[in-house]
Amino acid sequence: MKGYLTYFFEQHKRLILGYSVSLVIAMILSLSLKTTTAPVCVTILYVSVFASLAPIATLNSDREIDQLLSMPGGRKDLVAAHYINAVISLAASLVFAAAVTLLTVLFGGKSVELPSAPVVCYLLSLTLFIIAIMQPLSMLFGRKGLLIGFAALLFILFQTAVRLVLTYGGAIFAKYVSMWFKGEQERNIAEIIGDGVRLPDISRPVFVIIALGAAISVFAASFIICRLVFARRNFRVNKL
Amino acid sequence: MALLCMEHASVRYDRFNLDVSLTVEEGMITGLIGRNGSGKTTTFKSIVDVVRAGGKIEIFGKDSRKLTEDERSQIGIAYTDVFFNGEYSVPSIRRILAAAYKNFNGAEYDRMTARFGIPKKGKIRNLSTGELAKLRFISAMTHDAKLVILDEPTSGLDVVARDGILDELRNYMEKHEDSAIILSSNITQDLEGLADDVYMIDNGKIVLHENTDTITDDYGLVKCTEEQFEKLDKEYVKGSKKAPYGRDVLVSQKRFYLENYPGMAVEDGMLDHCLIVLAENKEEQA
Repeated sequence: MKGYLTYFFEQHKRLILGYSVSLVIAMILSLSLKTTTAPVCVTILYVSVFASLAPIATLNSDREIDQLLSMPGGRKDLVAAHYINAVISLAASLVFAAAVTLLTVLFGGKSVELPSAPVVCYLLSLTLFIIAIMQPLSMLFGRKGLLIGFAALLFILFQTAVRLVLTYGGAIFAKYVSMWFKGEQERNIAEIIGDGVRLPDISRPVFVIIALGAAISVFAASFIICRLVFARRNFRVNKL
Repeated sequence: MALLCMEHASVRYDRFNLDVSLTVEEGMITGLIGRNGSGKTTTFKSIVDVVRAGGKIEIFGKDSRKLTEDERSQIGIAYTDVFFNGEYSVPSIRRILAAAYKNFNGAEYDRMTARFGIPKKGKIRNLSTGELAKLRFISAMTHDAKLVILDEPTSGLDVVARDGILDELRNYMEKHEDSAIILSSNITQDLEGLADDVYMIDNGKIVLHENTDTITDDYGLVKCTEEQFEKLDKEYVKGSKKAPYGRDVLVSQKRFYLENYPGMAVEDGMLDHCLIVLAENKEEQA
């Protein structure tokens, strides 16, 4: 078990690099856009990507799995370590998300005005696109050309749907987070979000539940997708 | 004492069935030879339960699936083309092995990586084919394993590196007299100078098991015409295959044929002869 956990944790060093990049992106966006909304949304989703991909990024070929299964722990320990890794990755991502949000809000934008909707939507849809498409496709086909072709097509399809979801979901999430840290949770949501968007008032507990539910859903969905992909590749660990 | 005992260990694929029985004794180096796709790697994977096999597989006198983590850590295994994710760094492999194997010998790991010129930094995927083969070998040999399983450890290596690997194997057995090594190789000369006994596998079945010295001392290849072959005493004939001049006949007592058939050429036995004749003989029969 110790060997497997070490193996997975060695992989996390790459994730920490990813988190750090996200943090820098968030800060740059925040300073340049003079707002907190877009960078917060982007970084939270970025770390979600890393979190959801972490457990499977380490087990991406049958040969690698063969190597791990040959180590002392065997199948049961490998599966156990796999799930421990998944949980730790999620927890770590949430910590990073919180840290990024805090830093961005405290040192980033001076305003909580919503940037132009297209900017947020494009950035977030791009991120979601990466979550949903890149990893499974690259695992299935492993060819960049095919990936780019699919990417272009799916990006357009995604954009419309994602825009609707994120205009409401992402904006609410980011606004609530920023309000939370700035002590502005009493303000009228509709007033903050901007013209043309009327949103229901949501209490903090409800918001927390929705946010957690959304995060877990994203994580679970990507996990399920990847497990299905693995099943197609005769992912032996799943056959237990 | 047998450190590994396989009795009708069987694996079924769509177009391939493995059914292997073999024994690896303490203090011995056992060779496994066979053509590509004959089942060598599958045999090795079934030993450590990477591939689920039927039949009986005992390691250290115990059902291989019931080994504890400590017992499994006394097995060292290196495959031809299986290793950790290429994104991992060379130093991280050392840390992973140290965590996984309770008897991991860091000093030995450092000595061997220095001897084989493995870079101290950088990602695995940036290593050359030879460096990767050597690192796989090192990862199997540095935790004082009682049972070492090596799938073509010299594949893709230059002559110097091959010699270094064989040298390390000999030294290992000198230092670990209660251990055993089973290895496969397509370079049969390596096994002739190293292995105590040899199994030959073909199409998933063991078709020959012999002491290596017996093969080199007693076995022979009789070269004869078809007419001479018809009249040949078949008592010690193991198999034959067609040749431009008639037949190559693998025999287990070359002196018998040297004495009784002075007109025929008889070459000393080599593992290559066994491999070629027995494999082709089977094809002819089929």
